[in-house]
Amino acid sequence: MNVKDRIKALLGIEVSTDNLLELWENPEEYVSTPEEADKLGDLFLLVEMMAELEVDSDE
Amino acid sequence: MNNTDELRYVQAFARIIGVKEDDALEYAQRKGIGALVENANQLLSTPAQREKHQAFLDLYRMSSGINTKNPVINSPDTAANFFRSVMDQVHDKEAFVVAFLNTKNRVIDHEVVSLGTINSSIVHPREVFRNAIVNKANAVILCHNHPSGDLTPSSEDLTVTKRLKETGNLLGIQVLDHLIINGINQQDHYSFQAHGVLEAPVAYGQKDTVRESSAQSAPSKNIKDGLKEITDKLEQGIRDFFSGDKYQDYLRTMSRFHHYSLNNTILIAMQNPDATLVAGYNRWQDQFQRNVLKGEKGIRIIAPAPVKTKKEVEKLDPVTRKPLRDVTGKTLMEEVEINIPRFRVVSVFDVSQTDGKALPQLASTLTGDVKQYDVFMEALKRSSPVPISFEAMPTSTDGYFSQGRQKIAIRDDMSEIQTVSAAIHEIAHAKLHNLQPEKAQDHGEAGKTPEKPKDRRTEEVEAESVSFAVCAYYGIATDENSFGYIAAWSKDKDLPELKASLETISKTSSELIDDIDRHFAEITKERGIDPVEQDHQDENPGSDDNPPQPQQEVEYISGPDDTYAIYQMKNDETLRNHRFESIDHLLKLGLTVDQQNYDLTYTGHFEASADANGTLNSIYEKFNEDRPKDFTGHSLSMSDVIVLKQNGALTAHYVDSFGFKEIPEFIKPINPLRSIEDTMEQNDNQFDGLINNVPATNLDKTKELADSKEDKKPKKESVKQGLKKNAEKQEISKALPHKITEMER
Repeated sequence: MNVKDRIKALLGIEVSTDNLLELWENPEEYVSTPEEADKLGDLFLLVEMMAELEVDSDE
Repeated sequence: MNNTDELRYVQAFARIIGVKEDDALEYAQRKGIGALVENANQLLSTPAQREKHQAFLDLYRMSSGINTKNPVINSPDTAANFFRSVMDQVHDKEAFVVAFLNTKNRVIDHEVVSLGTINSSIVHPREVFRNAIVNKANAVILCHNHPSGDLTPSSEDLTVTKRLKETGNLLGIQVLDHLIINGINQQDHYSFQAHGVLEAPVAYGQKDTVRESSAQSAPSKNIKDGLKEITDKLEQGIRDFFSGDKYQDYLRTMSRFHHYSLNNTILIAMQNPDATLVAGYNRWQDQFQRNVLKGEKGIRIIAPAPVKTKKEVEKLDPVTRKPLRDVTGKTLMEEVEINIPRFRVVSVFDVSQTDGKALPQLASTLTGDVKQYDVFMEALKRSSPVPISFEAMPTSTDGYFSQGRQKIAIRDDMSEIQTVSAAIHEIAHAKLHNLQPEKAQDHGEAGKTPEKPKDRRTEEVEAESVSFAVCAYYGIATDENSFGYIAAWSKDKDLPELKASLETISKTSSELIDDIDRHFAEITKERGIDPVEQDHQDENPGSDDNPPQPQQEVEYISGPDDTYAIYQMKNDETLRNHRFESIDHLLKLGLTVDQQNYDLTYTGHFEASADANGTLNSIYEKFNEDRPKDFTGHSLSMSDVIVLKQNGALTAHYVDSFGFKEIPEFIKPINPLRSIEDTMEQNDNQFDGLINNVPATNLDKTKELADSKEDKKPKKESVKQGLKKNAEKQEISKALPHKITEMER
């Protein structure tokens, strides 16, 4: 599965790129509605928090 | 992260994965917030949730490289990208930046150490490592830019790098790399590590396929320090044992803890040579209702603290054991959990340091009169690798082992105590120093260096030590003065050599004690002798929860690793309706799989497969298609249980309607005293690979030693007493049997 498939499986939305970095930086450019961009924002926030959690737990 | 952040995290997680927020919160509280990511199987109840969770994990892994704030650095390129992102404002002047990494090479933080010309006076180690320590960094990566565009490191760059690397080594913080990036063309960089200037063997060694559970991260520096301190003590302790008068203390302790690793035996002997039974603080309270006395100092030993990690491996066909492929021919992968051995220092306390409920009174097998001495000698004969005979000899010789004739001879007119100790001494020679020519040749043919004979004094020290330890274990007092020459012998030896001898002595004593116990039990059974005194039996009748163990089970549990046991349901009318039923059937009826309803029908050895499932499938096939001739049970089917013993641990697996279901409740502690041994010895198994559980008879004797100080009740005469009495009768006082025993060449 690529990025598109995974995001479809996770959030049920279609994105028009497999470039995760591009999607991360400009989500609204690769989805159809602002609501979908918000959902992506939520997901990326969760990923960032998870990374922070990992850093914290290691300390 | 603070609690508010964690709550937000759980809420976002629940929303995205599609689980109930309350469930996710409860799960995170119970298992730790990291479990939402690493171990969420129990939380995810539907295929859709599992699919989403997998997609989330995949995206997280993919995002590791693009998380600009805390990226994972796994190559000079990713490191350079990170430093460019933090140095993009300073390309017109030279800047020195240090990134602090955790054990997974994720950037914790970074710091601009200096702006301007880079030289050793500005980039001082204290400036670089101060925040590395504050951030508890595992490693650092250094970077500075060359605005001129020339990436060639200057001599000052090399000096600074070398100095920082050395400082890092002292602090236990590795300098993974030092990068020079280009101020004009930002795509170029110079890596000291890639150019071999900075040797960092594990630099960028982060394995993408191995992720440690966040709840079980690497040992902290305090743990590392504790381990270092205790291993330093160990080395000194080994020297002290040989140079001082503590050698007998060590051997006595070793005999009592003969299933423990050499390291832990030495640590116990150093700190409390009189220890007889040890356990951790909580275990004394929880399992024995005994409390550690106020002010008692713990005995520090090394215990394993394995870390569970997940590893991606090729998925194998359960039948053919070949890798499975998808329709496109791509090899299918699966994630398996593996244990990485790690160690930590723990404190245990001897029974003498505790107070409370009396320990269960266990039976002793080594009780009786001369009749049991005969049994003991017969057990020694069976444990010996070569035949033992008695013959007349001059009084200056107690016995010998003849390599040429492959036999042991013992003088026939000695006291029983002398006979026993001389026999064990010679058995030790026969086991350890029997370099038969054909064996040596075989070793050579196998491409290995043929064994070299040890020098005579080393052989005598080893044989005498084994004899002393085994006799001490059975309470047979041998002469202590025979170790007078130990200091002189050890003086010229290197530490590894001394340690090797101790390991040999410990291993041989342990094997011999196990063999003697096993044969002793066999012989008493053969001769119809009840090895256990009835009055003692009454004090320990067993219970429904803790029934006496059959010998086969004891042997299986105390046997080597990579073995299995087949349990089949008892032929009992009350169990008829549950035989050959799935585990779901039992669960629906509110039943659990109870070992009491099962008979142990077979034990054997297996060749370990890549995973437990593969091993179980092989066993299943064997007991359906090619059953061992001596197997008397029915073909392996539903409701049977396979117990595997691997790495010192037992796991029970129910043969279910489809595949196998692990049933931890099936494995029960044998008795409280055994539990304590299990815990400790399982730990030690990680060091020495020795059998974990002591056969009941061993425990009994260990316990007997522990209780001997308190127990004032009259008992039947023990073998030790019998042997002593006999020796006194013959007016031979504390003979020195080993000094005059010989090993015939």
